Formats: sequence, C-alpha cells, structure tokens
Amino acid sequence: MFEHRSLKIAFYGKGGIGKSTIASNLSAAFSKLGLKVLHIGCDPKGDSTRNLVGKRMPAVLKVLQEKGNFIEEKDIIYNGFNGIACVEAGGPEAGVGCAGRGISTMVEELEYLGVFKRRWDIIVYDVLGDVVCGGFSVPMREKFVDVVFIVSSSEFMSLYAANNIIRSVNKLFNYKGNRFGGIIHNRRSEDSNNESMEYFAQISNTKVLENIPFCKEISYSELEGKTVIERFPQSEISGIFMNLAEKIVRNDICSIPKPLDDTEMEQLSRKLLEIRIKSLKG
Amino acid sequence: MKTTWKLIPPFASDYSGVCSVLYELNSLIILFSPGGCSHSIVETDEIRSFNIATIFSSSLNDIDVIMGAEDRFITNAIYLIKNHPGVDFVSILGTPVSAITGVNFNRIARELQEKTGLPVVVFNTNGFESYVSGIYDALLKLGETFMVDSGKKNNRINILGYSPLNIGNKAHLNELISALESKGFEVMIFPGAGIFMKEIKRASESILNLVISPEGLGLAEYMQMRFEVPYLMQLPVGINGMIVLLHEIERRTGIEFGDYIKAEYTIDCSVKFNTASDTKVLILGQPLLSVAVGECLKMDFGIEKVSIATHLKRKSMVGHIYSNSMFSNVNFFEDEDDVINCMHGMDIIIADPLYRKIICEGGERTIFIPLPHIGLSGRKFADLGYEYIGRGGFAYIKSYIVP
Amino acid sequence: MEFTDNLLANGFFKKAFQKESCEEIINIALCIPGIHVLGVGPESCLRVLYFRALKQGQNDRFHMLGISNDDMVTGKHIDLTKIALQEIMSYKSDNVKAVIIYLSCSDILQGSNLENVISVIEKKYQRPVRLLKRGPLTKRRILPKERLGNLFCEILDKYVNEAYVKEKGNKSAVNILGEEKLSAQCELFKLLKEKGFDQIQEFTGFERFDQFMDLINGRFSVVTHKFALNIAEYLEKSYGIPYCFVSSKYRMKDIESNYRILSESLNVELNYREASNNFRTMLDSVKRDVFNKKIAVGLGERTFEIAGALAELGFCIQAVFVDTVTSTEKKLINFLFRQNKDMRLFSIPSINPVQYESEFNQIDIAIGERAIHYCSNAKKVQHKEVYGVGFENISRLVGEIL
Repeated sequence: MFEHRSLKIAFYGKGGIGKSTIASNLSAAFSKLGLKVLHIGCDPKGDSTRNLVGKRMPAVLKVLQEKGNFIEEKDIIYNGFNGIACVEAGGPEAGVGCAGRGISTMVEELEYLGVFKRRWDIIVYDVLGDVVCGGFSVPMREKFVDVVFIVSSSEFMSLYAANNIIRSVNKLFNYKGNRFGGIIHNRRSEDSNNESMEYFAQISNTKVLENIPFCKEISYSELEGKTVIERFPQSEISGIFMNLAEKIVRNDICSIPKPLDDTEMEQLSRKLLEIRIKSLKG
Repeated sequence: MKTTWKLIPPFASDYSGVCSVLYELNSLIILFSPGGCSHSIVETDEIRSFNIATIFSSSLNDIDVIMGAEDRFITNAIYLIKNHPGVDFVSILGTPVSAITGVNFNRIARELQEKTGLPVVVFNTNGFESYVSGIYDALLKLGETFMVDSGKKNNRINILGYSPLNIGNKAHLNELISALESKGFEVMIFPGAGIFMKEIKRASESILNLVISPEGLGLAEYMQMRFEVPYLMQLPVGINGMIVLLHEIERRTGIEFGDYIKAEYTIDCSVKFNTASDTKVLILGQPLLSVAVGECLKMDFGIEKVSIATHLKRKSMVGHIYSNSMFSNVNFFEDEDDVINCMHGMDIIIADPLYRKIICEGGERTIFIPLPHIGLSGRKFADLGYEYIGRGGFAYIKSYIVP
Repeated sequence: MEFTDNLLANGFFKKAFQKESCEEIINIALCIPGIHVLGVGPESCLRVLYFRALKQGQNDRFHMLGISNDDMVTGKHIDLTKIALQEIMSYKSDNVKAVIIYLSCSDILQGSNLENVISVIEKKYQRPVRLLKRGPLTKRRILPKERLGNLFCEILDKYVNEAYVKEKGNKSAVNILGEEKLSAQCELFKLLKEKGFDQIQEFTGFERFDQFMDLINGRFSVVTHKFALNIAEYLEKSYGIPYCFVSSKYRMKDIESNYRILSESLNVELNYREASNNFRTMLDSVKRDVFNKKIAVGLGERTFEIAGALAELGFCIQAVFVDTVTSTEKKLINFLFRQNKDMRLFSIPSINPVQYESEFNQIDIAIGERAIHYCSNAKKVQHKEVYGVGFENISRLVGEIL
C-alpha cells in the first residue's frame, strides 16, 4: 500500500481543541487497519499518548535530562494499544525554557537512534496548538511530514488558529506543492456546527474530512485512559474514526488551501454570527 | 544596499559594555550563557589585566536551555557566591539565549539576594545591542542601585561615561584630570576602581558631572534630577578643546582657570599650518570623540572641511542616546559600501587602524591618522601610542599633518 | 579522590581567563580556498568570529549578516539570509565554490527554517550551500567540528565526478587531515620524508580549490585531529584511500602508540626507541632539583593528561586546576594522587582565593593560564600545544619549565 515508504502525517490545531483525542483514536484505528504505527506526541504537556499507553509515559526530554546521552530506545518508546509504538516529546514547565527547541531535539534524538529508519507504515505527529515558533514547525517540514491535518471546532478562535496554520503550511511548502490534507471538525459542544465549518472550508479552498460528533463514549474511554477504538470498538463513533482513518490512508490530498486575510476573517466572524442566529431561530 | 559586512567587524556587544564598566569593581560577574559568550570579552574586548575581574559564565547544554535552567543556575550561583566572600555585589548579565528563552532574572536575583545576603544586580543585556547601550544601562543601573543623597556638596567632579571601549586606556584622561586637580578639584572617574562601595556614597556630593561620552548621559540626567548635580558633556580634544572646557567649568563653578590656561595652553596657535584650505578630512569613529576632533581640526589647525561618520546603528537605544543635536552632522551608515564610499577622495582620514586596509585600495596619497576605537577593534591596537586630549592630542594630530 | 569542593566540580560555571583564542571552528570552516562562510546571528557572536578569521588572514571569505532582535523574532532574518547568499554568489562569482552558513545558538533555538532558502539558492547558482549548526547547544550526538567534516565531504562530492577521478587518480600523495597547519619541521613530516613519502598535501594548506579536490588523489591519509576523521572515512569509502589517526600526545605510552600506529599503517619501520632515548638523554641532563619544585597545572582540556605526563617523568605535581572532570579522567586523577598524596585538586568555581592564598604562594611553577592566574608567585609557563606526533610537545614543555 505504501511501497515500503511510511506515510507521515501531523495534526495541528488550537490548544484544547481535542487534537490528542483525535490523533490517538486515529492511531488506534490505523493499527486496527493492520498498519505499523509510530505515534509521537509533540506537546510539552506530554499527554498525547495517555489513551494509547493507559498512563502517562516518560517524555524524551525528561529522560535526556536525567540520563544524558546514555539513552536507549526502550527508555523513550513505549508499546501502546495494539502494538502502537508511542513517543512523548515532553518539555519544560510553563514559563521557562524553550519548548520549540525541545521538539527539534526530540526529533534529532529519534533520528540518532535510527527510529525513523524502521519500517513504519504510518507516523503520526500530534503537535501543540498553533505553530508558535520554528521548533514546533519541525514536524511540518518536508523531511518529516507528508501531509498536515488541522483539528478544529467551528468556533471563531479555533478557525482563526486553523487559518494561521494553513498559512504556515503554505509558506513551508510553497515550492514543493500542496501538503495540506484537510480539516477534521471536532464538535466538542452543541455550539459547534457543521454549516459554519463547511463555510470556512469553502472560502479557504479546503475540505472538511469528517465531523466528529460530541459523544459520551469518548469521555468515558478517556477517563479509563483508553481510546474508543479499544474501549467501545462496536460504537458508532469508532466507526467514524475507522472511516476517517481509511480516508487518510488513501492519501488523496485536497486542493491548495488559501488562507484568509484579516478582512476576510472579519467577514467570517459576521457570517458565523448569522449562521448561529439562524440556527437559534430554527 | 548590501546586507552583509566583511571588512569591518560589529561593535562590542552590550554585555561586553556592561563588563567593561564592572571590570574594576569588586563584583562577581556571572553571564547566563551556553558558554561561548564570554569569549568575545576574553579574546578581544577587554584590554585590562585579567587578574582584576572575576567573570564566570554558565555552560548550559541544549537540555538545560529547553527545560529551563533557572533553578540549577540559582543552586550553583549560591555556592559560587559563597566561595567569593569578599565581593561587594553580584552582577548577572543576559545573552542572546536568555533573551530568546525569556529567563526570569528578577526571580533569580531575588532568590540569590535572599540566600546570600549580597546585593544582586541584573543587567538586561541580550547580545543584539552594541556596547553603547550596555555602558549606558550599566552606569545608570549602578547609580540607581547604589547612590545615596549625602545632602552636601564639595569641590568634587565626577567624570561619567568612561569605558575602555569608548575612551581607550584610562591614561588618556590624565591630562584632563591634572588640569582639574590643579585647581583643587577632587576628580573621580565613575564608577571608580575597587573602592566603588566607599566612593559611591559620595558621588552625589559633586558640584559637577563631566560627561565624556553619550553613554554617561543617562546617569548624568538621573543625578541631575535626583541629587541636583548639573552636568556638562564635552571631550576636550586638542588645545582649543581644553580651553573651551576649562572656561565652561570656570563659568559653572566660579573657580578660575585663567592662569592655568595661560601657562599650559598658550601654544602659539597663530602659526598657520601648511594645510590647503580645501583639505578634506573624514573622521570615522566614536561620535562624540569625532565631533571633538573635528572641532580641534577647525580651531587648532584651521581645517574646515570635516565630515564625520560612524556605523553605529541608530536603532533602539543607540538612536535615543545619539539623538542630541550635537550629533546632527554625524552620518550614521548601515551599509558597508557607504562607509567605503565615504572614504574616497579624502586627504586626511582619522579612524581606527582597521579601516586602513580599506583606503589602500586607491588612496595612496591619503594621510591616515590612527585613532583606535576599542569598541570596534578590541585590544588589537589598544597599545598604539595615540592621544587626543589637550596638548597631547594636539601634538599627536600635528605629528601627522605637519611631519 | 578529593576535591576542594565537590559540589562545583559539575562544570556548570566556568571562569573566564584571558586567552588569545578559544579554539573555534571558524578557521577550519574558512580553510579551503573557494569555500565562503556566511555568519548569521547576533553581532556579539559574529564579532569574535571576525577577529579569529582576521588572525588567520581569512576575512576575504567571511561574510557577516548581523541579526537584530526584531529580525530574529519576526523571522525576517530568513529573507535577509537569502539576499546575503545572493550577494555572496554574485561576488566574484567564479571564486565561490560553496557557501557554509554558520549559525549560532539563537537560530538553533528558534529552529529557523533555512532549508527552503538553501534549496532555492543551490538551484539558481548550481553550487552547494551547507548549514553548519555550531555552539554549545549542538554538541549532543556529534561535535560541530565533526559535522563540519561531513560538510566538506558533501562539497567534495559535488565537485569530484568520475571523469575527474579517472584523470587525477594516480595515487601518489599522502593526505594530512587536521585542523592546524603543521610546521615544516614537525616530527610527522620528518618521519614521512625519511621514509620516502615526498608528496604531501595538507588539508589546511591548500592555496586553490582544485588542491582540495585532489584529496581523492591520495595513497594514504594521516588524520592529525579527530575533526577530520569523517573526511578520512569518506575518502576511504569512496576512493579506497586508507587512513590512520595519530593525534598530539604528551604521555610516553601514547607517543609510543602513535609511532606504532604510523609504522603499521605506512608499513615502514619507525625508530621509537631512538626518539625516546634522545628525549631521555635530554631529561637526564636536567638538574635534579627541578624535580623537587612544586608544579601547578591548569590549561583547559588537556590539564590531566599533561599533569600525568609530567608526574610520570618524576616532576612533582602539587596542584591541578580544572573546570570539570570527565569520567575518563578519574583514572589519571588516582594516578596523580598516588604520585603525590598531598596534591590538591581545585575545582575553579569553588576556589576562595583568600582561603588558599598561602597554598598558592608555595607553588614554584604554574603551567597554563588557570594555574598562572591563582599562583602569582610562581614561574609562569604559558604552554601552547602545537601538533606533534612524537616528543615535540613534552620536550618543549620540559624546556619551558626549565
């Protein structure tokens, strides 16, 4: 399916929007499709892999801090659900240090240990919030990532962040063709609606890959440190993740997105208000 | 517009500037750095003996910087300070790495101060600025931190703004100091050497601050506002420069210099030098010194066509410091080609010897008068026997113009 | 093992000592004619590089792009780097064979993405542009100097094609791969010439770019500094040129091993015994009372090795000044204590100069800037290592002590 070449994908999105939930569920779904998955959490919080490993695992940077250069693969790669290899970058506590550089160092360290040379079918990067500095864009760079996906709700600030990420993707790949895979709509609340999201996708010349509904299976499984794929494999939501995983693996990259400028963003906010009022009336 | 530089180096950095001010004080100087930042001080910028100062630099590795090393810094600094019990205060300096990662120096200083009982002063340097802002901030900060109002005035004059980076070896000031001391003034080159803690308490007793570089202006303004010490910014280059300065001090303090001037500075200025009326001179260097040298050429040697240039970047702090109307005739170049071009067709060039190699390309007849600028060329030419103040300066320039 | 204070032997703080030059790699980066270097970073970082280049007369190929704080945080410096590369490529363009972009800590922290810019410039000018990340933040797995060695290999690879190999591949010269230009009188040259290796091409001594390309035309490489190990390995792998590694040494057994390696690799007899006898004779002529003098050693990286070498010869090592201790040095420390149980090991940040003043005053000879700084009454020996495969360095040091 991949001609011995792994597919490398990254999820970006506004902080707290549910990237880790979606990324970990998708990794679980990929593994169910029979793929060999490497899941890399790139957030100083270090909780991307919790649902796959069942607990918080030691972060690469913490291990480096404690063990210096004498680290081995087993110190930083944990075996998660269904054989998924999990890595957590980690980083400094809030307010100190340089988290961005931490991501680059983690990537360099994995390279040094030869982790990327192994035969993975798919490598998943779950990256902190917005592209805050150069370090966080490392996973987005050509060498590491084939396709970037954005996780967003239809709230304005989430779309605002999504728009910035689209801009970064275009900038980073401007001469290498498009590497944007589309938006995954996470309907975390009743307020998040498909119409708003579709509207944003349309005007920024991209597409919504899937609408993930708000459902209690997700929160129950998270409380148990599991993905819905593991905990409720037969549920409707698991089906949605499995579908989405297949779509991603088919790897049909959508058209080159066009980020909105400031005026267009303002227009978007008015349009979102209109849609909201209409739905309230409806 | 060219973006790169090749022939001329950047100026010494802000943290080099701060170090140059702290150097002779009894302070433990600590750089927050991955390690390499002290090299510029050690290899080029400092011209004094290294036995005087106690400079330490942290050596952070990548993981320290990523995960934050403030706590490690504090723990180690406490031991360092305990092993240097004789110091008066601790100075902490920032570098590019601390600027980018936003290290919380105030917290570090607070904790160190609490745990060691010594005053800890933070200098917010970042390595992106030049020595100009470093010296300016350092002098001001020392003043703000340690000066007290002694409530009285005596015949004391502080010289503000000195650093080897802008003035060179302290011995250049000897002639000026002798002139002032001849009339009973007590002169202190702020912040003094070694005796800082004792002298600083008396700094506010001065009747006048003599500012010899714009880097001293911040402190002068502060002292004027806080302790009502008036100031005067002037560098007395050549005979006329010294006469003008002494008259001005006379006017401000009421102490007469007439006989001294007569005895020491009545070199026959009526002798006209063999300089043609259209002799074109370029002075490249520290702006205040250049302006003063220009004035000396005009008044002592009758040379009128003088242009002045520097490649100090008039951005951020430097822009503010050099905003004085005194510098309105100074060209601030930001492009190396502009500096090279302005040297063409000059009869006399007065500049740091590093510029000499640029002139060689097609200016064999140009007279080059070396005037080292330590903030630019470091210790490379610091020992050249050059002078600029008073009679010494006059004789030095004359030796080139009238061989 | 006893420290004056264990807590600070962790190397967190290092004291600044006056030095002519802290060994840096800018001079190596600039050592091949035709290869230009673009330094990008805060002016404070570029300044020191300028003066290092100036000392070696290399400024003609060193370009500086000073970055302001604003440019750095807004990422504008990436566009500026592109313009700067264009300026260099168009400057006497035939002479520019390759450009190395020399980055410092700030850019490494920012993770500045220069790959796009490099790829555009390489395509436009058809010449290699390489990125060198250096500085204390880039030493985790591979030292910047070793990384630089790899860059030279990549540049060589771009220029040497099969036709060139066919035309030039006559295998006659010995390649000397190291970081400093060796003196014509050095032992290595003498040994090579004695054994008939007349044609020598030195990595740091090339006057033209094509001489650099001729490295592939060597029959053998002698690596004199580990920086060049990667280059030697590359030449062996790609062009079948074998190599050996012999670095400067001070201790007798290490010097003997240098002779052995060299003689095995070149397949010639080298007379270690004679060299060692000459050295011994010199040592025997030294007045015996010198061996009772108290010596302090503190000169950075090689402190323990030099102290150990002197102790082996019977000198009295009384004090050693260090910033930090590596695990491999612990054996040497034990040896030093066995030689002189009263020896003091000072971790520099924990020295309280007043407390130890009387001890420092008893030192007769201070070797290296660190020891000289503290032991003001002692005879000052500012020893500087130059490359020597044999007894050159230790002989010179003993001479300096006398």
